[in-house]
Amino acid sequence: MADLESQRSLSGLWVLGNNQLVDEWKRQGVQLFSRDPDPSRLKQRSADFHKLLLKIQGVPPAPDRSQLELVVRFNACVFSVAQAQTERAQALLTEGLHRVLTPSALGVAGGTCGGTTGDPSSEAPSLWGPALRAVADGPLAVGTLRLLCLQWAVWLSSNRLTHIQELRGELSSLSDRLSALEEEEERKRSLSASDHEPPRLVADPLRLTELLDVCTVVARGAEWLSDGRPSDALSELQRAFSLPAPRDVLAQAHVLSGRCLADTGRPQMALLCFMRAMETEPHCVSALYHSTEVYRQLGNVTALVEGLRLLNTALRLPPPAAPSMTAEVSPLSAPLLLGSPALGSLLSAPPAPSVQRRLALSCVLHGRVAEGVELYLDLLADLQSDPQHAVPPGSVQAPPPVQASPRGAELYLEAAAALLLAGRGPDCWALCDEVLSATLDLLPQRLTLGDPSEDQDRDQDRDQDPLDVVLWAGSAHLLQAHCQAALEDWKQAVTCYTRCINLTGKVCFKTHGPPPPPPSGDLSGRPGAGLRSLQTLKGLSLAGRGVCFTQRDQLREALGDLQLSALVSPGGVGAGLWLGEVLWRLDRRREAASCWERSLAAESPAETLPLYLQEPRSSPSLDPRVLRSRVQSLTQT
Amino acid sequence: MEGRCAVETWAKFGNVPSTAKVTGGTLVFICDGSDEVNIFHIEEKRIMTTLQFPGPICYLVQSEDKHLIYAACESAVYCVNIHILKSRIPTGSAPAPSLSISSDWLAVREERVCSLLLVGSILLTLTQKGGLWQFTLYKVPASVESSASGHEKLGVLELPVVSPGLYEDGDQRRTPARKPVLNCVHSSDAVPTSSSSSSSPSSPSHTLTGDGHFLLEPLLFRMIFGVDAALAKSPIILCGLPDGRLCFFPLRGLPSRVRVLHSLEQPIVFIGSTVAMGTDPPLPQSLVAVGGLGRVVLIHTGGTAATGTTAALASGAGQKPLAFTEGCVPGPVVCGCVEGRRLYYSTHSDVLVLDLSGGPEQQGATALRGGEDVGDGLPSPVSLNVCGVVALGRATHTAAAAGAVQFLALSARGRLQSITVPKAAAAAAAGGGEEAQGRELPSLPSSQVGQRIKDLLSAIGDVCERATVLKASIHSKTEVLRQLNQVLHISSLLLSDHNKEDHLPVQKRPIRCQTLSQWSRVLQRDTLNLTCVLQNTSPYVLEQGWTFCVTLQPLSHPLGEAGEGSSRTLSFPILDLRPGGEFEVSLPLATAGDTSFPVTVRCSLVFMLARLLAEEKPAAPPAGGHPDPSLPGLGGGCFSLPVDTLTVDWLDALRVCKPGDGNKDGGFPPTEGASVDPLQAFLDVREVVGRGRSGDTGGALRSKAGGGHSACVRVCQQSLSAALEWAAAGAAPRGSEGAPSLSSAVLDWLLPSSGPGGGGTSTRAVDDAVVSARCPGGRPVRLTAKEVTVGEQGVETGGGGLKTVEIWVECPSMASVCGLHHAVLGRVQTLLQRAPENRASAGGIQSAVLRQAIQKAEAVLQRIQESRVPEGSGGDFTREKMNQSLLSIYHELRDNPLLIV
Repeated sequence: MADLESQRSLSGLWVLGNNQLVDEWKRQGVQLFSRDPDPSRLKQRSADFHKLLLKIQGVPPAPDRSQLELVVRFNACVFSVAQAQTERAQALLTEGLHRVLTPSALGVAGGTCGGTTGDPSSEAPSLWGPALRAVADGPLAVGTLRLLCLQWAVWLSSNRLTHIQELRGELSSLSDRLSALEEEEERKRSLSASDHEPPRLVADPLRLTELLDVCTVVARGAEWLSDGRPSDALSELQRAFSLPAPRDVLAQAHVLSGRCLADTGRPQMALLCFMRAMETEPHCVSALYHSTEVYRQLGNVTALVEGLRLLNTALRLPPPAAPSMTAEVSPLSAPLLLGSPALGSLLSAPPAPSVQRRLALSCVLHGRVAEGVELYLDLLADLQSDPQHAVPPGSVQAPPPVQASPRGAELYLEAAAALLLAGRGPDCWALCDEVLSATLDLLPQRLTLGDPSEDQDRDQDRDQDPLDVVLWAGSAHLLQAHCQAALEDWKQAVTCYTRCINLTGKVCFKTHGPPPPPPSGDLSGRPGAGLRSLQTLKGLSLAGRGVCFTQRDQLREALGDLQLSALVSPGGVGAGLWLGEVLWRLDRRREAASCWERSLAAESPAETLPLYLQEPRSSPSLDPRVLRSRVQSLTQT
Repeated sequence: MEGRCAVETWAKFGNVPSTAKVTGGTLVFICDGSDEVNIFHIEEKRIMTTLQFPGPICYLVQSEDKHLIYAACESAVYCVNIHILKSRIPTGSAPAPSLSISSDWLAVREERVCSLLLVGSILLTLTQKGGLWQFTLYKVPASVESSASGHEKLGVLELPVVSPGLYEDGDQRRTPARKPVLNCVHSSDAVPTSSSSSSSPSSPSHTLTGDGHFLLEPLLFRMIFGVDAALAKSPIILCGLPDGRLCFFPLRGLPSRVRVLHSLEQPIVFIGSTVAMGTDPPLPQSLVAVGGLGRVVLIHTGGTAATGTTAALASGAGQKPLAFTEGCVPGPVVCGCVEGRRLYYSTHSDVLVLDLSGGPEQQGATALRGGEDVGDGLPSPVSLNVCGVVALGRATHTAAAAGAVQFLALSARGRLQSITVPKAAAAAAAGGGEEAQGRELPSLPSSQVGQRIKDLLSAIGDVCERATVLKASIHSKTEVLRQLNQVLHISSLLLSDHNKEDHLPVQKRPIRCQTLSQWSRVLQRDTLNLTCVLQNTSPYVLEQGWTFCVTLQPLSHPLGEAGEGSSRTLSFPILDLRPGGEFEVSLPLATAGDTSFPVTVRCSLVFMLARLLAEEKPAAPPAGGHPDPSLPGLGGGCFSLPVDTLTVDWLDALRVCKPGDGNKDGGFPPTEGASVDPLQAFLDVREVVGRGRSGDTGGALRSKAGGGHSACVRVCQQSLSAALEWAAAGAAPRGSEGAPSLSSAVLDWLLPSSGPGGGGTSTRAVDDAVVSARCPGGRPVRLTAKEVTVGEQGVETGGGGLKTVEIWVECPSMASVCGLHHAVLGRVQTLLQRAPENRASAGGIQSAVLRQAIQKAEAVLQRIQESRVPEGSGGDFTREKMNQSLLSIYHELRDNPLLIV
């Protein structure tokens, strides 16, 4: 009798210990969640609960103690999940299941959390059915269901959606059963009118179930979307809006729906979804980013620039403060549960520098040169300063999503090109000088390139591709030459163009076939892009020199250069016009006329080229109307 | 002493584990792995204070302006402001007061930080979490006054851990797990401005900025770290990981990831850069990384730098490539520092100086010195004889002694030492001139001399042992080659003999074989022994490895043995057969009663390569007389070269009766022993009686009245004498005493063993000679040679009768007669074939006809053989059938008398 008494008091002691730990956590949690979640506190708490659990397991079983054990196990497991220790949590759960299934084993001494045999995660779904049947509506039912709730969380956070699918029936009825059982327990407790305090939980299982439900929907939607089933994903995601959910999860569901709609060719509806996402969660950067992508597809330049500007600002702001905590603090949050890589890649936004560069580029390309220049200069200043949220935590290890981030030298050259467009020749010259000083002594004497199709397996992120170095140095020379041409210093311009031509001449192709096709398509990140850039560079520099020679009335040289340029990089509009001009001046009018007609009819492919490899707008140009009238006069005579 | 480096002990602490760190300038912070940091004032040479941290300190860094120190404890990083500390230290107090650092100083809450780095206002921590190395960047707040709070996390970079067991398996007990090494590199044209004032002015061309980061030449910087980093003027964080990877990432610029530059495959202990001192223009600098087991890698621009295992990362042809020079120094390396172009490193038992200069003139010096290089591209290090150093501070040039280098060291026994290396010792490391080695290097302490001598002696012993083994191996290989040479010569000799169309006569071959058959009586049995003599007249030696093989192959089988393998091979290993020597083997050919003649004896020489190549375990030589099963196959590296093929026929097997023997049975020698069984004797008698009745005088094969059968071979006297080179025809009168007649010469030729001395010819008539012998079956045989003139044969001859020699074979046994007849025919044939063809004048047509007759006779013999074969196989052929066959042959022979011309 005395023994029972002591045991009862012992279990009372443990209940007290458990409740103290829970209270302490909640007290700290309110303070701590205003800042970063503190891993060491989590760890400390986890260790405390584990210790308590071990203590409880060390004593022979009694019915009330089994319930207590399940509660403590739940608490310990919550902290393991919160620390993303899925294996440990899974081990705890599996162990608990085994103990539920074999009641005699309850209370057998020992049994550390890792003491189960075999792979705990693989056998887990098959274990749950028997376990739930075994407890049925017994005293252990509620505790077991709580553990099931955590099992769900473990599967979700480790992205085991198939396991969740297997237990779909149990999980969908989990919420109802839990609430019914909890009510009944409450009723029993009030009836028994015991002065014993019930063991408390560190997280409310009902709320956890709600969260898990909506998170599962979102995770599944993301999975299907990345599997290429946007319509299925869309219908699944629609479910999420009817469920109670935190705002950030809801916003994610909206973004994902938008992605689905955009993928199925409904851009306007997609935009609507992104807007809803931003209404739900103002800091939803990915919604902003994806809407700019849609605007880009739609060709809505104004909206694109505006969206990029907003995105840039959002990314430059310090990360938003954690959502204000309610009184109930759960260590399990939605970001912890939604850890699937598919979701991460779908919802990620490019890093801030990349966005700013896109913004600057868009500005320059669409007539807001001054703004673009300022953005570029800001970007360059950022490059040279210490990182200021340039590297958002955790985003570095994931590769930048859409396209490779630009190289530093390319940024310099783009900025220089923008400066040239803005008429700030000396600044452009200075930037080009920097690029040249960094690249000139790295230039190879000679560079032989193989077939670009053979180079596909080449390491993409080699930091020192010699072709890149040649391209950068050549582009810098080209821009400087453009600067000189804009100043009408033809002699200097010829010198700079010649440097560029000489540089491009250092690269030779090993291919026996025809020269690479003229530049077309997106240039970034594709093998052979460098080669096409090089051809363009050669064509532009030859054309530029040809123009300079024309200006200096060296028509023979001009003709040679311009013809070579047309050969190397066909489709250059300016080069074609100037070739016609030279021919006209050389009194080869028929050829000149056909040349002009061809060039005037051609469309400029410049959109896909890097900014610094586009045809200079600052160089002397010919008036198409004059040319047309000349052609007409020729055909009439 | 001028050349010695001076070691001055400044302070003493407790025992220091091997992971310690010394950092600082005027104030030196000593972290000995415990939870204390001692602050030592260099100028006052005393410990100012001791900081007591809440936990053991893993790493310690000092800020650029020396105001802050960051210490990584187990669960957090603390930041301590020295100014505030100083204000708390009571001035002039003799015992160093201890200050405990509370959690107020906590800067970053991060667990198990392995390494720290402070670059400007950015704090970098390195932790290993799960399978990742995590570099976390924090922003140091502008003013760290009281609390260190406000360190803002800027970002995290990650690198997967590769094979954590790489460095933990073998040497964990000896060397504790290394910590990663973090350092920061600036391009020398992008030096942070704030560091210029604080750097020591005494070093003329230092490579270090104020906070211990180092500089690299811009070109090298760009080649290693890329154009982007150079454009962004970004410092590069270099990290040497315990798995040997040297990785880096730019601190500024676009978001990047951690890239691996090189792998040393051993824990990296030190990263630094070198520069040539005081030269104008400065020589190329190089990035140097030192591994814990002594591997050193120098990364420099190729072309002008040291050679060695230079793996050129040619960015393009023509441009100076990036080169990695690797070498090894005696390890283990505990810690190191670089001053100028010299690397100082401690192996726990000594501090060594290694000259890393890679200038062209140094290369020349290296080449001149010759043989002094350690590893591939590095000169040998020079010892400074300072033992037990576990941590080295930064080296400085002291103003006091020009050219001397001073650095702080912490020994394993807890002494803070100042080591001053005089210029001479340093020069010895660099120049390594002979006189410097002899004169200026500090001599060994006497306690170490004995040990050193022992080491050297044992090393000499080892080398000697290895040399002996190598010598023996070379010798044996030479020997094998020599033998192979002999073997090749012999083989070519034998093969050329064999391949030639016209065989050399036996007597002229350099390696030949002669046989002699003799009867002997062993164990109451008569045995025909064949004696083979291998004669070597070639200039080559038949050495061990050669085996003389004799294959005996009867032409026909005796009864009952047909099913078995009829040939026997006997092999005799030759030990050493010198030129001119003879090798004689004797082997039993047949026993009495064995009538399987003729027997073909093939002699060959077999050489076994296996025995030559594996001489240490010679295979058991095949026992003489037992056939070696491995020989016929010629597999397993042996090859066989035929020497000669001989035939032992009936004639060889005859036992010639000496004249003195009993002659009671019609001149036939008596049957010896009881080997003839009575039944046979009875049959013989019956046969004799039966044949006697049908005797006929005209046939070539007939039964004599005296007993048995007889056969006759007629040979033209002229051709026979020519072939035998019997010169008696003209020189001596026929039948005169002293000169043997042709008939006896013929018999002598047929039976050499019955030669004149042996007295084989029992009767010497004028025109005929008779030899009595006993055939192997024991039957008596009489061979008679007569000179007969044949004229009545119906053959048209030129000059009347043709002189012939008749060779009569008489024996009671039909088989013996046939066999002997065959043997005589065979021999005559061979003889005539070999004889010079000068008998065309005797009448070509006639000889052609006669040859045709011989061929007929041969066909007949062939039939005789055939008739024997099925009988031997025990088939359905009855004896009667055989008899009929033989009878028909007999008739045929009688109808076609033979004359051999």
